Amino acid sequence: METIQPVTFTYDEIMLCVASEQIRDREVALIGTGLPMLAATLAKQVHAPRAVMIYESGLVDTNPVEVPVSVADPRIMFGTTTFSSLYKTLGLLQRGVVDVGFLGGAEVDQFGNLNATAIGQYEHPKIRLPGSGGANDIASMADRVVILMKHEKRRFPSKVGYITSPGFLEGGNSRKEAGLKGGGPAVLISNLAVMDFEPVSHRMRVRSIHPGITREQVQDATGFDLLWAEDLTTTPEPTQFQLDIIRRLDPNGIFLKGE
Amino acid sequence: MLNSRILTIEEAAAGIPDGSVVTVGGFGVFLQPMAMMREMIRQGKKDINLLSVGEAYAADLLVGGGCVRSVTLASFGFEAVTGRSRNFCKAVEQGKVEVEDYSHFSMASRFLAGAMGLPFTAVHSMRGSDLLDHLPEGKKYVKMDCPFSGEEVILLPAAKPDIAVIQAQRADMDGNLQLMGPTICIEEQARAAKRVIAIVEEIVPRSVIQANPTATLLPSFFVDTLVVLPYSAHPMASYGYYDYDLEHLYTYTNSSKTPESWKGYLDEYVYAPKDHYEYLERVGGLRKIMQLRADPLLGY
Repeated sequence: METIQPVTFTYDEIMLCVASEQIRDREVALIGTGLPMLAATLAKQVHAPRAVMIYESGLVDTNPVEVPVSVADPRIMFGTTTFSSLYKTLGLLQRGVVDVGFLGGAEVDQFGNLNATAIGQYEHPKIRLPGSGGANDIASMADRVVILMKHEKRRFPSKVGYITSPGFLEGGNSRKEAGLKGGGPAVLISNLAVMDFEPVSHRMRVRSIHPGITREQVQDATGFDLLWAEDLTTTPEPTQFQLDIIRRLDPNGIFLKGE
Repeated sequence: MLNSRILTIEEAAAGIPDGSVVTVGGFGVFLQPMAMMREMIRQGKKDINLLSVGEAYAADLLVGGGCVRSVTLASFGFEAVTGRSRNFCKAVEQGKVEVEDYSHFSMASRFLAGAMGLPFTAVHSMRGSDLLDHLPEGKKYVKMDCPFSGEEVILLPAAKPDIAVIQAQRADMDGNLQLMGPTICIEEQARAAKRVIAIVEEIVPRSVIQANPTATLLPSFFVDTLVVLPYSAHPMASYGYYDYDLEHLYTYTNSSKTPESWKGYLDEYVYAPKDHYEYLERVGGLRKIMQLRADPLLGY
């Protein structure tokens, strides 16, 4: 008798599928480097064929046939509908037409502030990181911000050492009071769980835990007390269709290292 | 100036004084003027002050070659594949290079103001962040209410570099410069600079430029010095001409792990080759050139 094989997947793959689902059809999405490039390509092929993907190098409406390694990779130049500039593409944020933007960083804190600049004192850092790039612009001005992070205690401190990209700053109304235009972080997807930010305090709150992960594991990998949604669920598993596409897009494991 | 001066890369690099404020075009794995960076290192340039956007590979190489005193930047990351720009990061950690951080949009706006002949620009970026908090208020930024609407904006001074070093695909004999692909910040960086050095893959007849005028990035009078050198962006990509060299990018980042291996890289690929053509031999010669050469349909 034929047996049906269960779907098997890695935590990187579940992270990627949840990330891709944040892009809705017909939305305008600003895509940063790394996993978001793969998530965007997946979204376009699965559920959001008319979403418009923007890259800050000056590309609008990309339609790659291979996954790019860089936001200025010729693989996203072929098939795009617009060659533009950095000023014009990031200017779309300031103009208020970008629905969703993607961010990552070395550290994220309980209010969704991100550090991608320096660990230790800014002037004499212990570890110098790449810096903002377009991240601060996306965090400041996109309607919704989606954050992708590897879930580790040192990456989730209660307060980041340097705010490269503003989340909800000190929580409460502080983001609004600082005059920031965009809506701030809407979702944080890690390799353990999916989180959002509680609407009043703007503290990080767990919405769903990935299959096979416990509540204790999520809290232990976090440097502050998490809030928990009353309707806490298990993150839906990726479909075989999504997994087939991901594995075809990244056959050499450039982005997905099998974790 | 109607006729741009076509110089060799050695002659063009010799025209960059020590201590200059230099801006370099390109971003990601695309159109960074790498051959010019190698030549600047060979000529032992000192105390260059980089006014940058995101030209990570060019800046990392120049910092690793000991040419740089200070860096104003938005980001110097090597992105997903090859990781950290170690020469730059180490130089900052060791206090060898001064840094001033902005966001990409803020730097692009500063260059646009410079290109427009304006003294400052207004943005909505960087509010509430440490990018703004680490800049001296009143000197590097001012918060101001718009005199017309009352809306608060952040003012930043225009960026006005001494020299822009940019890479593009082609030009005619007069220096009308064409770029294929997204222009990143290259147009604004060049227009804001007092002097422009452009490196291209080939010279084409004026009629070729006239047949596709929308690809012209800069009119001839902006291009002070023109260098013609094929594969001069290597290991970066030049859309329509050649792909980036992933194998060499890994060689580069692996070499930057220790001072010894980095010295080895500089010796092998910067100091030892007598010119750009010998460099191309060392990175794989004709076999590599044929691998990287763009597919005419895909452009890479």
